[in-house]
Formats: sequence, C-alpha cells, structure tokens
Amino acid sequence: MIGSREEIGRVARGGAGGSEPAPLDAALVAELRGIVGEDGVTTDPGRLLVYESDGLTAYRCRPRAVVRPRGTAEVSAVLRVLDRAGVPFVARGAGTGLSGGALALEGAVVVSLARMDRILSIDAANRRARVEPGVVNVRLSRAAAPYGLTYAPDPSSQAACTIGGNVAENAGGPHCLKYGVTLNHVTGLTVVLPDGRVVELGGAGETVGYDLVGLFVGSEGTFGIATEIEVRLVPVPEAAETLLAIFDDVNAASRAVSAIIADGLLPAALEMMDRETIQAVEASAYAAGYPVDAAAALVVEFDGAAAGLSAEVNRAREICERLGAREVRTAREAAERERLWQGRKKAFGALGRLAPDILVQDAVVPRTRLPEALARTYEICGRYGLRVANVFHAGDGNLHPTILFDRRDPEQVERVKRASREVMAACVAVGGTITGEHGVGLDKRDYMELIFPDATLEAMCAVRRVFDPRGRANPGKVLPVRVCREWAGPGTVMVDAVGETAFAPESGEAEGVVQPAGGADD
Amino acid sequence: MIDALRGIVGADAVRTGPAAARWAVHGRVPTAVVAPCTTGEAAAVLALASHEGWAVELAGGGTWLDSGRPPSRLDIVLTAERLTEIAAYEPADLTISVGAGLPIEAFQSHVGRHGQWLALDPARKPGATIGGLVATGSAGPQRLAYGTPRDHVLGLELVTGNGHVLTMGGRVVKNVAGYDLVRLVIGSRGTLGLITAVHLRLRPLPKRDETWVIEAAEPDPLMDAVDAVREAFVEPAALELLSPIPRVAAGWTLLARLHGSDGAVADAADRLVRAVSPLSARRLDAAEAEAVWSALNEWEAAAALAPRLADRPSNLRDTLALARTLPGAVTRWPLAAHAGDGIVRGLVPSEACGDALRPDWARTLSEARAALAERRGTLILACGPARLLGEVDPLGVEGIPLELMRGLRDTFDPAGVLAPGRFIR
Repeated sequence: MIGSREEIGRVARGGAGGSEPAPLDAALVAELRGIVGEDGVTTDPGRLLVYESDGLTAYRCRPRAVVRPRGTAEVSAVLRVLDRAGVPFVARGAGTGLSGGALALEGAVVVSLARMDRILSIDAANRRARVEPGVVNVRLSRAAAPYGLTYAPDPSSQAACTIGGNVAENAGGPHCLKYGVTLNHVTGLTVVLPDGRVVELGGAGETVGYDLVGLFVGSEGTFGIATEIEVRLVPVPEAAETLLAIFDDVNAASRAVSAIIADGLLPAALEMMDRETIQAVEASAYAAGYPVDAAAALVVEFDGAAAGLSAEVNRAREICERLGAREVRTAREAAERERLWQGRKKAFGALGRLAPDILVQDAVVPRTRLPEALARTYEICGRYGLRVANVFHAGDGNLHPTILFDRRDPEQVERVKRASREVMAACVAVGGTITGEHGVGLDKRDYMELIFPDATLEAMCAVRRVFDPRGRANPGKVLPVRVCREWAGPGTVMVDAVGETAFAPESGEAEGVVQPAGGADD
Repeated sequence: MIDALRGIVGADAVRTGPAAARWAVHGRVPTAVVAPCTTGEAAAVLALASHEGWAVELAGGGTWLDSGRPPSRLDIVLTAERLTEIAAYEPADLTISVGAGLPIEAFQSHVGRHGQWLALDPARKPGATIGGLVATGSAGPQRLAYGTPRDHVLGLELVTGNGHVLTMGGRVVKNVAGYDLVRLVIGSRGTLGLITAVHLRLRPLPKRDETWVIEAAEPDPLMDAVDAVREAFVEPAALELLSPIPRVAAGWTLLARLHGSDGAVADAADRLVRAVSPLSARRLDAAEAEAVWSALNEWEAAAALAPRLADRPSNLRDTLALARTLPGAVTRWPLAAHAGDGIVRGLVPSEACGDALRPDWARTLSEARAALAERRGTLILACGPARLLGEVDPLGVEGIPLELMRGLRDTFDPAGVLAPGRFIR
C-alpha cells in the first residue's frame, strides 16, 4: 500500500535529491570500523544506493552508512556506539520486504546482517535449528532435508529472503494454511536491544514470565536485532497431491474455497488466481497451460502420510465440481505438481510484464467474505480506471490485489493511492485486517488507525518504549506518527525530514517492477 | 469500597463475606468478589482500583487462583465469569469470538455440534474458562500436535490495570498489523489486565481418534519407544509417559493418541506398532480411551502441588530422573510426561501435600531447577501450597530478562494493583 496522501507529501518534501542525509561523523565511522573491520562499513554514496529501498520500490531513502557485523558481540558493540552517538539504526536482511520496513529513515544507519549467515546447529532429535539472521530461508530447509525435516514457513521470496527478516515481519507463505506462520515456528531468540544489551528469550523449557519470543516476532526491527534464532523443524511430508480447479465464475471459486475449509479439510495450501492473472501467465514464458478464458483457478495441495491423501483430494475435487468447476486436474508426481503450481509461482513475474509497475497489496478477510471482498476490489479499481489482478492465499483469506500502473504518471499514481486505501477500508469493513504477512512498515503505518483504537496504539507505543526508550530502532515505522509523537520527544527527527520517494519521477526507471522475490511474502 | 463497587456493577454483582470465601487466594479471602456484566463495568472497576490502590486478583472461574506466590496484598477478586456471550461464530470460517468467562466445557460442546473444536486440552477443573486458559497459557497432552494457546488465539480484548480497554489482534486467521500484544497477554496470569473477550481459531474435529497403550515394568524401555516413535515419524497428537496412576495406568505406561483421516490413522498405528516393538501396543476402545484421558485430567486438575520440569525432548531421561528426586515421586504421587515435548509433571494430590512442607522439598526443587537451568530448561510450580511457594519461586526467573518484563507489566498496570507480588516482583 502506498500510504496516505499526507504522508507521501511529507516523505517527498524537499524533492528528489533535496535532502541528502548528512554523512556520519568521521570519528564514529572509525569507531565502527574498529568493531566490524575496514570492509564492514560502507559510506560511499554510490554503493549506498542499493540500500535505498526494499521490495516496495515506491519509497526510497538512502542510508548514511551500512555496517555489516559478524556476530552477536559485534552487533552489540555497534548498537552501543550508535546509541551513545544518538544515531538510529535499521536492521536489514535481504531487503525483500514489501512494506518499506527496511528503509533508513531519520538519518538511520543500516545494520546489514548479510555476513551473519551461518546455520549454527541442526538438532534432528529435537527438531530444532539455530541460525543466524542472515540465513536465506530456503537454505535452512535444504540443510534440514537429510534429516527428513524442513522449515515450514515458505514465503514466495524464500530463495532470497532471510530468516531474520521473516522473524521481523512474521512472514507467511502458501503452506502457512496448514503449518502456521513464522510465529508458530520460532522457539528462541538471542536479541541485542537498541542500547547494546544482549538478552536471551525462550530456551529449552517452558515459557517463564511473558512470552517475549511471541512479542518480538513481527516487531519489524523496532525492538532490537535478533542475532540468533531457534526454530522448529517439521517432518518433510511423505507425500503430496496437488489439484488444479478451473472456474468460469470467480465467485464460484471463492465459494469453493470457503466450502473446502468448512468441510473440515485442511489443505497444505489453497491458492487462487483470477482471470487477469491467468491471462498474464499464459501470455508469458511461464505459460502453464491454464485455459485463458477461465475466470479463476484454484491450486489446492494436500500433504502428509501417503495413506490418507487420495480421500482428501477426492473430497476437494467433489466440492469444486459441485460448485461449478469446469475442469479439475490432479497430480501426484513432483514434476506434474510443479507444472500445476507454475502459474501461481510465476504470477507476479508475469504480471510485472504487463505494466511498468505493479503494487502487491496485502489484506485479510474472513474466508466466508472472499466473494464480497473480491467484488469490492474489482469495483473500486474499475472505478479508478486501474487494472487489478488477484493472486492470493485464498485458504487464509489473505488477498493480494495487484494493481498495474506506471509510476511516471503522477495522476495515475494518485489514483493507485486512493484505490488502495479504499480496498483496504473495504477489507476492514468486512471484519478483516490491513496486512496478513507483509507487515506495516512505512507503507501502512497510517492505516493502523483503521483497525485499532487509540488506546491500543498508545499501548503499542509504550511497549516499544520498553525495548527502545530512546527511539533508536527503525524509527518512523509501524505506528502512526501522531500516537507516538509524545515519546519520540525532542531530539528525534520525525519522518517529515526524510528525503525522496520513488514517486518523484527523477528516481523512476521504466522497469522498476516490484519483483516477485518480495519480502515477507508475495 | 463495597458501596463504590456496587455503584459500578450493581449490588448483586458484588459478593462479600462467606460468599467470597470460595475465591480465596492461598487461603486469603478477598473483601469483595466483583463480577461485571460488561467490559465497560470491568474498566470502571479497574480504573477505580488503580486510583484507590486496591489490590486486585483477576479470575475467570477461579480455578487457577492457587498458582503463583501468595499475594502480598488482596482486596478484590475481579472475575469475568459473567462475560459468557458467544458473540460471533461462523463455522465456515473456523473462527469464533466469545466472552472470556465462557467455561471451556460449554465452549467445546457448542463448537463440537458443528464438528469443530478448540484444539487444546489443558488440565482443568469444572468451571475453568476460556479466559483463564488464555491467561495461564495452559495446554495439555495434545500440545504435541496442536501447540499451546499462542498458536490458537487470534485476538482479544483486555482491560488494563488502569482501566483502558485495548483490542488486540483481530478475528482473521492471519494478521501482522502492529505489535503482537496478544502473545504478550497469553500466559500473563492476570498481571497485565482482565481478558474480557477472545477470538479463536478452531479446527475440524479429527475424523478418527485412536488411543494406543504400551506398558512396561520400568520407564526406560518406554523412553526408547518415545525415541523410536519420533524417528518413525508416527506424529501422534499426544504421547504421554505415565508412572502408575490409579484409574489411568496400572504400571509404567505410554499413551499414544492418533488423529487424522481413517487412512492416515491406520498408517500411523501401523508405524507405531512397528516402532515400539518388541513392546506391544494395544488399541483402547473409544469408551476406554475416553475414561483414561478424563481420569488423567482429573488427577492433574486435582493436584495441589504441580511441579513441571521441562527440557529438550531428547533429555527426557535426565528430566525424568530429576523429577524422581522430588520426595515421594512415583511412590506417593505420580508423574506424567508430555514425552514428545520433554515436559515432566508431578501430580501431587492434597493428601500427599503435607510432605511438601518438609525442607527436603524446597531443597530438591531448587537443585532440580539449577540442574535444568544449566541446559536452559525450566522448573515451574504450576500450583502449590502457599508456604512452599513463598519459599521457592514458582517461576524461577534466573536468566530471563526481568527488567523488560517489569517494564511491560508497569506499562499495563502502572499503579501496581494486579496480583501484587505473585509472579514477577
């Protein structure tokens, strides 16, 4: 989501190149180099460009420096030094997030965790792994595979995104329908607090006192930096079977989603693509053989013991056929299943070819309200003259309306912003929420008020203050500026002072597409 | 105090004197037991208590009041027992919103009529509520497959110590908007505020539910079986290792519960039988299974002292050995282990509790806790006699970030009126 008009105005104030962040004090840079080594600090403006945005390229803000520590002790030392100097920081993994969460606002220094990418242990007997935050998601599953185990949360960006980023955003993924999101898989954390103190959260036994692991997951880098992460591993399913159902009516497909859930089936994944998405896929190099005149396609996957699988797949097939599927294909062999999945997996890449820019939205509605929410999405985007495609985690009610546009056209950008806000409000109106897996970041900060009363937002501010009393960790994110203004206090620069945004035409490039390798998830 | 409280909630919602005796906390009877009918009333009561500095114990059905240290002060018990509304239930969504005071049994039978359940089976006394389950973070044998309340609560409404009404999380199954205050509140034991409403994720009832029994003269072969079950990927819903327990287990026993479709359960049973060989596994019929599980629950709910020793599942042998160092373990009171999760519980009924005042209890508990702490394991006293809990910290807070926890507690309860002295001091 692109954020409110007011906010864009603030972020953009000063125009492109109007407010370069001040360089870091030379003595501070020297001190940081003393901790992480000469090659561990980057201050060269050209090399900092890579860090000016995350997977949501709509926002850009170049950091003052990037520091790359190599372990908990170095992270602690770095944060201590920054704290003393009064310089805020933002932790960064692979930078694939889709909410602007990794942007270095308010003169922040980026603490890159790229050099902390060791898998510290795989404890097969206890089905646990301990990793550093920079470990790429898919690498962990590969390392666990020889033990017959896997790391379940599988954001679509899993080939690029890191476990640390997944923890920060509480990332989801297609298979979270059955296996749960990152929260359900994190059992322990080593955290460096913003003042450099190191705390251990969780452990081998039961939770003692408050569940700080649960609170930390999804805190979007505002409570500190997780430097070691212990996660649960689960058995690789013995077998899996995938079903592709083609519908002539998008509402019928939505009703089938609801009926499958209501029937008591628990698919490992239940994904949906609409006509626009199917056509984009079939027109691309990734053509998966979906009928181009179809209104919607469902990809339903079941996994587990080979024994019970066929009964479940047959039941899902019956439901789809009863609700009007014109064609149902199933596959059990890996290569065949891969083909059925292909359209879903390549959808964002294919959509990216239809327009200079795409904006991947993220909202959740109750599953029974999917038909209504989808209809509202089409109606709103139609009214604003925008093309929208829907490709999403239907089984969770997690919509990803994807708006096609060209950011070089300011008038179009304005329509995208307005439509996005209306879509979000429509999802909230049917009992939903503003983000299911991408996080709030900078982008949705001002939408928090759509779902939470002031008392809750103020409590969130107060909780943040417990971890970060001086406002050093990822400033300007998650909470609306209004509710936190008081605790930001004097001396902390608010988001108003931030540099430029991609909506300023100068920074735009024609191929500035939001890549499918996006952040917490697609 | 009583007049002021009656002014807020009405005369019939404030109990005093003998009527308050059932709500005693470690034998200490509150001046008033207040049962508001609305969130607004609860907020007014807590705002007033914060203003006046009245110490408040929060409750649902009042079945978990003897957990934690004896309170350093106690004026009011504030209970959610009258907040029992089923506000929204859409079976097709597998989500539900209920008042926190709804008893667990009533809840499960309501959703059970739609073929669904809240996939948690905590030990509970009659009258235990959904709010109490969330506040204590309780889970039972089936935590092995389904996790703990942190995996099931989608959102909740909390009245903070100073009377603010906070809505947290949401009603949908996936939600990352803002900080996850819900996880903070789960297991916070009435130190952050009164839970007034809860939004939960439901699951379809398993199509098939079988319980298998494996017996042995000694625990060792059963622990070998636990390892074998894990290595064979049997993936039971529950795996309980029990010392002899009247009405539950004649000798050392392993109970394995299998959930799933007919085909999946048949397959799992087959793996189980092969994995535990040469021990033999016997399937209980439905009535036997029901009787065993409910008798185990009764034992657990009736425990007047309940030490819980937890470490990595692979250390189960050591954890069990530590539990057996506690006075009277196995001989005078039984042990039960969530074997797949590495958690060993002592179930000490009140008649065996007199022993707990002997000094060797405090000493052995402390020694076991220290041994577990070396491996970042834990020893928690879920409940116990006041004198013992006064002597041995029920949580064991070594190595946890107490400063953060105190800061969080003070944020929600700035006047320090909630459960003073009981959990985090």
